[in-house]
Amino acid sequence: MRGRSIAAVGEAAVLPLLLFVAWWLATANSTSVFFPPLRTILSETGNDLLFGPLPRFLRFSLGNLAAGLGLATVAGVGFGLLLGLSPALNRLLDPALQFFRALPKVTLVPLIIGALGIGPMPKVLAIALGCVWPILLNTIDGVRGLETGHRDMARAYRLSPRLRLVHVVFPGALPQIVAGVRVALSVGVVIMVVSEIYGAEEGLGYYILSASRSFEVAKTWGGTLLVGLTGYALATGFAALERRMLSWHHDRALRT
Amino acid sequence: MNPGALGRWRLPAAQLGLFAVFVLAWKLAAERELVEPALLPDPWQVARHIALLPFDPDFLVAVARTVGNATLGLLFATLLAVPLGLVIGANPLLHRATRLLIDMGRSFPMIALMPVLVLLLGATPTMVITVAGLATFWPILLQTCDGARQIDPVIDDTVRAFSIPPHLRFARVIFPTALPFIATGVRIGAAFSLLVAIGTELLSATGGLGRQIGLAQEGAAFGEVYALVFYCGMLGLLLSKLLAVIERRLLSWHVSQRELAL
Repeated sequence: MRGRSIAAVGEAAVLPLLLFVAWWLATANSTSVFFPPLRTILSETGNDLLFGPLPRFLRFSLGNLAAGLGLATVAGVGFGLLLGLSPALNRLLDPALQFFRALPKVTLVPLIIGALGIGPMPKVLAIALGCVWPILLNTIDGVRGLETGHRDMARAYRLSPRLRLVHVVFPGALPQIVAGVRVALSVGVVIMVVSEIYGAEEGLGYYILSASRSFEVAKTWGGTLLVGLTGYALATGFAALERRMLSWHHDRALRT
Repeated sequence: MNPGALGRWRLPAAQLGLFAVFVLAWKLAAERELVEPALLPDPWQVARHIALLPFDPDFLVAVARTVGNATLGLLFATLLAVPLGLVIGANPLLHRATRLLIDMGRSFPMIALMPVLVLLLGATPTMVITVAGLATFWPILLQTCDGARQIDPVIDDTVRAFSIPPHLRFARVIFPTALPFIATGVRIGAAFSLLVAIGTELLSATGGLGRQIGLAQEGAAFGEVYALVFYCGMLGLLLSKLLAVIERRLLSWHVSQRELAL
C-alpha cells in the first residue's frame, strides 16, 4: 500500500520535474531581458527569501488572508445558518444573494482600498467581503439539504433549538460549509494579490509589482512563482485539513 | 383580486419594501457621514450614475472591451482545455502523470502573472485575454478530465469489443459523457474570466470596465465607482443566466436535466 502511494507520487511528480528541467535548460544561457535563466530567478528570489523582505511580505499577505477568511467564515456560517433555517427570510433576500454571488469580487478592491487607504485593515475587509458569499451560500444550501429523517428525529425527540443547532444542523451542513470555505480560500488568494498590486507597501503582490516597475525581471518571475506555490500550498493544506476534519463524514459515506 | 394573485405579489412587495428601508438607512448614514464618505457615498449620487452611465459612450466602449476580453479568454481556454482534458481523462496513465501539474495550475492565482505579461506583451487587450484565458483554462481542463473519467465501464468494453476507431470513440462516446462536466467547467470558467479580465484591466490600466473603476476612484467620483460595480455585478448575473439557459438547451437529453421532472 505504502509502496504504491509512493509510486503514485512519483508518477505525478515526473511531469512537473520535466517542465522544471526544460525551463532550466531552455533559459540556461538566455540573454533575453524577458526570460532570464531560471537559475538567476531562483537565486535572486531565494536571496530575498533568506535575507530580504520576503518573509515579512509573506507574513503580511498570509496574515491578511487569514484574518479576512476568518471574519468571512464566522459571518458566512452565522448568517447562513439563520437564512437556511428561515426559508421566508431566505426568499426575501434571494435577489441580493444572487447579485453578490455573480459580482466579480475584485471590484471590491478599488472600492474599499480607494476609500480607506492602503494599510492592512482595508485589505482584510476586502478579502472578508469577497470570501463571505461562497461560505454564506454553501451554508444555506447545506442547511436546506439536511436529511429530513434527521430533522424529523430531532423534532420527535424534542431537542431544544440550541441542541438541534449544535448537534444536528451544524454537523449536517458541515461538509457543504467546508466546501464553501475551500472556494472562498481561492477567491481570497486572488483578492489578496489584487489588493497588494492595487495599492500597498508590503506583501507578495507588492513584491511582484515593485520588481516589474524597476524592471527586475528575474524577481518579477520569482515573486510570481512564489505566489503560485503559496496558492498551491494553501489549497493542498486545506484539502488535507478537510479530509481529516470530515473523516467521520467520508467514513460514513463509504460504509453506507 | 383573488388571494392567489395577492400571494404572488406579496414576496416582491416585501422585497421592495426592504429595499426602500435599506436605501433610506443608507441615505441617513451617508448624510450624517456615519461612515467614511468615500466608502458610503450618497445613494442618490449612485442612482444618478446608474441612470446616466448607459448613455455614456466611454462606458459602453468599456463594457464592450471587457465582454470581448472575457469572451475571447474563455473561448481560447475552452478550445484548448476540452480536447486536452478528454485525452487526459480517457488515458489513466496520462491522468496520473498530469494530476499534480493540474492541481498546481488550478490553485495558481493567475492574476499574479499580470506584471510578467505586461512586461512581455504590454498593457494591451492581448495581455488581458491571455491572463483571462490562463485563469479559465484550468477549471475547464479539470472538469473535462473528471467528465471523461465518468464513462460507464460496460460502454467502454463495448467500444473496445467492436474496435470502434478512436475518433468515433472520442466524438460519440467520451465527449457526450463528459459534456455535463464540461458545461460546469465553462460556467465556472466564465465567471473566472470576467473576474480576471476586470481585475487585470484595473491593475494594468488597460481599457475596459476595470480601468473605468480605477479612473472613477482616482477622480474621487465615488458614486460612479458604486454604479460601475453595480453594472459589473449585473454583467456577472446576466452571464450566469445566459450560460444556464445554454446548458439546459444543450443538455436537454441528459439525465442530470431530467431529475427535476421526476
